[in-house]
Amino acid sequence: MSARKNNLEIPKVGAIGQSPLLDEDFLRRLFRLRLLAHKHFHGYAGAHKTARAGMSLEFAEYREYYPGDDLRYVDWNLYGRLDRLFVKIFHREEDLPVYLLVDTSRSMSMKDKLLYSVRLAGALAYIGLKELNRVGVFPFARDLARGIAPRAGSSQLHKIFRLLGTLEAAGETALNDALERFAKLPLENGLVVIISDMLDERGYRLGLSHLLYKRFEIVIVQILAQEDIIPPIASEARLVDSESAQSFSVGREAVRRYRERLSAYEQELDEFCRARRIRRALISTEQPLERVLLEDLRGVLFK
Amino acid sequence: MIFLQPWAWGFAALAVGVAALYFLRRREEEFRVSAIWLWRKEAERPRSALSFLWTNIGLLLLQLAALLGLIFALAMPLLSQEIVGGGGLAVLIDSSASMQARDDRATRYERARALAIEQIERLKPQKIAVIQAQREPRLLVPLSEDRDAAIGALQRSQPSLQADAPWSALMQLLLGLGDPSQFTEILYLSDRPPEGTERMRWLPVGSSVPNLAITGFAARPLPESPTRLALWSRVENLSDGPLVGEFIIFADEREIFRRNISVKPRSAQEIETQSATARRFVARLDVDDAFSSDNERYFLLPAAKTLRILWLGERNFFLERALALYSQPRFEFLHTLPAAGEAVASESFDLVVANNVALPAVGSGRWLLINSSFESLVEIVRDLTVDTPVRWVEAAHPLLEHVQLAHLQPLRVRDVQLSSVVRPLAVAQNAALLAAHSSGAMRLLYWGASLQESAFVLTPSFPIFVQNALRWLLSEPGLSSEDRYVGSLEPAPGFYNDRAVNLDPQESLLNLSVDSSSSNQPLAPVSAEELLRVQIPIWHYGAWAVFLFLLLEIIFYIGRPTFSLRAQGGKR
Repeated sequence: MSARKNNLEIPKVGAIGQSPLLDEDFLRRLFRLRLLAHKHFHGYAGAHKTARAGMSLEFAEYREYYPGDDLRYVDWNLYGRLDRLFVKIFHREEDLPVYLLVDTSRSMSMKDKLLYSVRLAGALAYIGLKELNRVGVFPFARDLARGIAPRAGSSQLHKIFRLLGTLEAAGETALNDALERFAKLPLENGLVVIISDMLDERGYRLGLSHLLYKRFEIVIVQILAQEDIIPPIASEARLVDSESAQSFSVGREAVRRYRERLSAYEQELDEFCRARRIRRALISTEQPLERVLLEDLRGVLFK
Repeated sequence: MIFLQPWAWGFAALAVGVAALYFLRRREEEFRVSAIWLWRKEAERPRSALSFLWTNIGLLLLQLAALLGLIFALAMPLLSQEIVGGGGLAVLIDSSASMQARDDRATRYERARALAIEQIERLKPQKIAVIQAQREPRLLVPLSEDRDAAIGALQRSQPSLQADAPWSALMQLLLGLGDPSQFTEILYLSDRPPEGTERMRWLPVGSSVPNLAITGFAARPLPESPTRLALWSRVENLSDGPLVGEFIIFADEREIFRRNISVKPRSAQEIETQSATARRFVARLDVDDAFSSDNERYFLLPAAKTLRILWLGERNFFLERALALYSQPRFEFLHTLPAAGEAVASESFDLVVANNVALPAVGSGRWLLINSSFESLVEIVRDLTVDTPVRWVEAAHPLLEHVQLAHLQPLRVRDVQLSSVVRPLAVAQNAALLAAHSSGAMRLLYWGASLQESAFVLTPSFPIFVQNALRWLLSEPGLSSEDRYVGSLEPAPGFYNDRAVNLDPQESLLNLSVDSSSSNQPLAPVSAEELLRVQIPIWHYGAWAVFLFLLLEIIFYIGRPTFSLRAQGGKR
């Protein structure tokens, strides 16, 4: 952790309806969480340790002295023992560009998936910004909506919370289109957190491939409602699609086959992500957000 | 099961309202999904609104079941439940001849036996006694704790050809087993109701079945021909439908008579014919009925008994002929009476007939006094002209069986003084016309009119009276007249049947009838299912059912299935 203390002010703005987006006590409990990024990105000075030699206090290794090296980094004690000159190399600490892509398609309106996603995005923005990272938020549905470019600082948190408080579920899902559009934006590569139900008939492969091509590090937090996983259809029901309004009737026995297809879809997504080192977590809206952040997302999104 | 408030079932009409309300608010559930394309491979279920109403009517069924439970509870049901175990059990199984009748494939006795075993196994008594009820009741199993032995004895037992058991004898045998209070149950299995008022359950067996029976078969000698006999028989239809059959008579194994007969329901047909004298007669009925034991009756013509008869006084042709009709008399006529103080040697004769004489006192012998006095027993006072009808004093006396009162009417009668031990049987003009005395070794029959002046000897009642007189005078002391007959029905007047070995005609009455108007019918029949049952209120089961069904409806209607996503794995 950087020596630079983060005194990030928790914003009072950003509310969904009459409720605050995230309360202060909740955010304080997230204070010790740190984002996990395996890739090294070129950024500004920040809190993320990189492999490049830098000016941080954390020692990395020794290197033989070459003329022109800064004599302040010569280890004289080692010279006394070995009669050779070595310079100390320190880790460089840089910030991490974090892009929160929040799915706002109509399917996210099912059982407060969007609300859950917004609160999760808010928490992630807070965690990212407190580490002096640059955090940006990009809502998307059929296309990428106008978001907030990544910046650091408490004012960014205000902006993000304000944006998240205004999000509404609308439009159909088009993951490939939205992710491709995002990949083509002139942004530094960094950590992309996709918060979505990932349920798109046209798939997700192309969009994710674009992001990988642009060397983004991707984390997918898949939010599903309990009803998505086990539809509570006791007998006959008329299904209505939340996005297209298509409908038809099914019987109780259809639930089992639906679950089999959903399971196959999830497995396919999982294999795709594993093959490309995309980290993924499947979260249900039934799970308490705090526990998800403190436990379930450790190793996926947090150290 | 019975219901104390059966009107509550009228609430069943509410079921229509419940169903109507259910169908009126029945709507197909709409369910929003995030990704309908994951469902799209499911086949569309096109259906009419009407057919949809009839799918998934579980909640309606629950509501109707709850309504049914409510009505059930309001109707106050009582359940008839069996009490099992313990106590003493006395089984009285009727083994009289009628129990051999077949109602279907099994005989009544087989059914009664199976029923008795079933009750023993059901009641599981601690002690059990089994009695076969027949004319001579038989203790089949003394009071015992060994149920298996009792069942085994019952299984081995067979019915008899005897008549019904005299109720007193049956009760005597039952009381001989000990204190009646030790029996918690006394079962009487029979095809006819018990006579007594004892604490007893009657388990009826049998039903109304067709039965044509020979209920009488007898013969009498013909006075005009000593070598021929008159045969009489009665065939009765004891069922509710007409029956036809063939009636045959055999004399010493030789068929002598055959006739097709058709008998109306509940009526009898009498058949008379004549036959040459033979020893053994058999009447047989070929008919398809339920009871075969009464389709044959036997009759053995008794050999005429040789009687030594001392005749004192005037002879009388009619009396001599009548005596010869029923016996082989060897008369000794004594016209001169013994001197005063000299006793008549009555012990040397089977019978002494005294006609118009005055006899000294004798302490023994069989005496037929015709218009005669007998010292110290019958004292003649004077003659009386009779102008009033004869009347009975003791009409039920065996001497008067089948004798018509009008036939006795004399013109004159002797006014007599009877000793107090002589019983007058009939009186004319306040004088004893007929009297009898029996004491120890002496029997005396007095007739108080002259046979020569009386038309009695010309009436049909005269040979009957003589036959009765011979029976009564010559019967052994202590032997009741009833014991001379196997059956209870008398044959036609003047016919013998005292040597017949036949079924009691009462046994032919197979139809099960319970006369509720009779005071001698204290017990209602009880079926085996009703035995030892108590009525237990069970309305609370209905109340619990209502509660349960409503609870289930609330669970199904309000409660949604909840599943934990932890099983799916929150972290990948």
